[in-house]
Amino acid sequence: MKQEAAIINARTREPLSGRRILMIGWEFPPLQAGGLGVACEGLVRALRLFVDITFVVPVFDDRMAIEGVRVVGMAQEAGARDITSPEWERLEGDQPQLDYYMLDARLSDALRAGFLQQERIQRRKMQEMLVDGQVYGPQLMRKVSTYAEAVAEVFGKGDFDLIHAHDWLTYPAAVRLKKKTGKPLLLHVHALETDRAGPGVRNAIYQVERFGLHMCDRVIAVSEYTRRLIVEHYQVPSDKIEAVHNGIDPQKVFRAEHHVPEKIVAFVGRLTHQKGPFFLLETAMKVIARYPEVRFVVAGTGDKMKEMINWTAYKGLSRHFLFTGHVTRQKVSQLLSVADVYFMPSVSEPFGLSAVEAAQFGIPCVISQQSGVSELLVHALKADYWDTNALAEHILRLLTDPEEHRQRIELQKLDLQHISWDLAAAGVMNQYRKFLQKN
Amino acid sequence: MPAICLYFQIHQPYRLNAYDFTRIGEDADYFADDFNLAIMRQMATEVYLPANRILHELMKKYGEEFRVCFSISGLAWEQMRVAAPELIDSFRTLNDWGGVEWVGETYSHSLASLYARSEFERQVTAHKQLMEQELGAVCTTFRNTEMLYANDLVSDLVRMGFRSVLVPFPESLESTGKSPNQIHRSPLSNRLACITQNSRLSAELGRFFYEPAHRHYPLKAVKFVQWLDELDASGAEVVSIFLDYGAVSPRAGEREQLPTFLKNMVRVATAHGHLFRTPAQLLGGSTPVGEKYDVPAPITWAYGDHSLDAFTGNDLQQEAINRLYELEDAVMRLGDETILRVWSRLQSSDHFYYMTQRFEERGELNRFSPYESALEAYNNFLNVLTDLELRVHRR
Repeated sequence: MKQEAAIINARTREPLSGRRILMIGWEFPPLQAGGLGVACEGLVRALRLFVDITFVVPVFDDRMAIEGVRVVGMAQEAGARDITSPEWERLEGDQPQLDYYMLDARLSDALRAGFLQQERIQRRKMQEMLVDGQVYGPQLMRKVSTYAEAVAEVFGKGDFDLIHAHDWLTYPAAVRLKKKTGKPLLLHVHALETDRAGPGVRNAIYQVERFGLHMCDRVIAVSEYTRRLIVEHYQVPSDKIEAVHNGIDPQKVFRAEHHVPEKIVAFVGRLTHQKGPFFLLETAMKVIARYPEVRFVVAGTGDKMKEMINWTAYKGLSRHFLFTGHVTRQKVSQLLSVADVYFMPSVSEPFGLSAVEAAQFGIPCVISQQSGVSELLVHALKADYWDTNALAEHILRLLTDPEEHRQRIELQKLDLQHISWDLAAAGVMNQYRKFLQKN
Repeated sequence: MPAICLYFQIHQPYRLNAYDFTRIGEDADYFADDFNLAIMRQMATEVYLPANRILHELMKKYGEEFRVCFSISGLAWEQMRVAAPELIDSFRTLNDWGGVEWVGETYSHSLASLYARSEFERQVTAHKQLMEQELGAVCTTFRNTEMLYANDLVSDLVRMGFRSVLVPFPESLESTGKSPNQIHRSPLSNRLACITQNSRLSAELGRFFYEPAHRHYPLKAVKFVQWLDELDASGAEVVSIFLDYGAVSPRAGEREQLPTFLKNMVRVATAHGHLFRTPAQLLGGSTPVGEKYDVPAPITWAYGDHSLDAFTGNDLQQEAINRLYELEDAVMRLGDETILRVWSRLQSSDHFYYMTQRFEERGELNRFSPYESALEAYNNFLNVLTDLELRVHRR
């Protein structure tokens, strides 16, 4: 079996035990906003058996303890240091070293001036920036560059063998550290700004990503889909990128009876452009028109929530929807335990963990072609996110044909056998080996 | 000198619990009982009881010359029973003095007249019975929620035995040469008098009294009575001041307090020969003979535009109200007392007022709303409504 072979492979090929990986992250449970923290934790738990991992985060929390892994919070580490060290004074007088987010000749002068400004302010504010406790929140760009300074300062001695950094928030830190220590750099792409803001985006975040992707030694993408986007939108050579799918932890699944007489189509995720909220509504309208005994339960919040709710009210379709607002893990499980169909019409989804969770709960999934998870859930029903006719057909089929519904559940169970963190760790180990075996 | 018709409304809704979607189908514990009773208790202690004491004093002092009218929603009365029985005693005292005319309204302070006429009639009748049982009062004057009125209400009101109705008086009517200070009659019935609100003077006491930016702030009783005196020259019959009773409250840090103002104003006004009269007194046994009050489309006492927009103006409000009233047939067929009571409580206009987005659009707070936003109010109401729908249709 493919998975088993990969795991055996990872365990028996030349072991890398004792090799030290410096992982630079941003989210880590419980301080997380989305899937990034979950993915980092899953990966670290699987990898810690093979290599020594130091995981760096902006702010440390006692609950981040994982056996065998050192978790270091920059707010705590760097906060104890003299932040007006001579080196910094010197830098202030010099031409500021902006190269770690800089990016690209096409970056406008205005943007560059903005960064210069930030550079000066952030030196003074380093401590405050890192200890305001929010990993996102206001002045994110400043936090990112402050983080870079702090990481370079604390780990500048280079007592590790490889840098492995997760998503754009960590790229400036990672590139800066690579320059300082000469250690190989592996960037792990969990999501792209082009997913969130559309392929045309050329904002500062995009520039940070682009710079990092070109400066690093190798790139891991969470899916073939994301790999293609990196080539297409960031002009990174495709042989520099490897796709390694995320895994998932087994979870306690259960079925419950629900009280509404309608069948339930569940959506879980942020209500932002990226998740395709209006394709969801358009699809729902087509489903409702032909199968009124249905209720779409939309779990999550986001900047599109108000508009979505207003739309359902305007159309007089509110009785076919339920907007839950913010949901806890437990409530997501409650929802999945009663759902009949899971629907993920994302416009661009690098991975799509929530669909795998739904599959674990034994719910047939209807997902957009533009998602990483569609490569793994081979038996989910798929269509292009804009093709709301096809998406509606898929949902209707699952709602009206019990045999189809049952079969999809069984087939998805087969798909799930190929999704695990061990498998993901094996893929990552193969990348580590490219650098660590040479020595 | 024109008479003065003082009318106060009292209403408190049953505000909802934060009712999460996971509770749908699980429990029917919709109403925030402790919170609601606490509010009623506080309003009673800080506003209603002190104001009642003032009215009592005035009745004792001025006897026949001082009469007021009240309407108290059924939901408010129910909550008084539990939270502030002494307030009910206090109203009974005023009633025993014969100083009050009790005005009919919908039991739930609802918008049923627009959405479900049979439910409207059921609620008005229920409220009438409540007033009769509790106070021995026979209501012959009606005031609809938010003073919502249009011609098509007339036949129902006449049939239910009302002889007069309290109505708004939009500025647009003044341009036709009519005055709010006359008793009007409906073009649809010779037996129904329309008592038109003097919006400007009502707003001086309600909306603007504690408003430092207002040009008459701080308002003195002498000045107010002077305005009343001046209306005499134009042949004014009656000046109708309609207020929420909650307005008659003291306010910390203010030099001029509305309760004290009220006392002074009655003193000065009676001295100037103004009588405080209720609609029943004004009509006596006679048939109204005034100008016609012709209102083809619904209007309310909302300051400024006289529209119902704050209640039914946006898609959220319309969707919530439509879904609520779509339940009517099923609820009636079911005939379950508990479900009928819940459905009735959900009809309070307040629930829809919490869903107005006009405050957020101006960056202001909806001061009367227990919610953070209109959206939150809508979502919570819909969760409750979804559960009620389940219960109604399950039987």
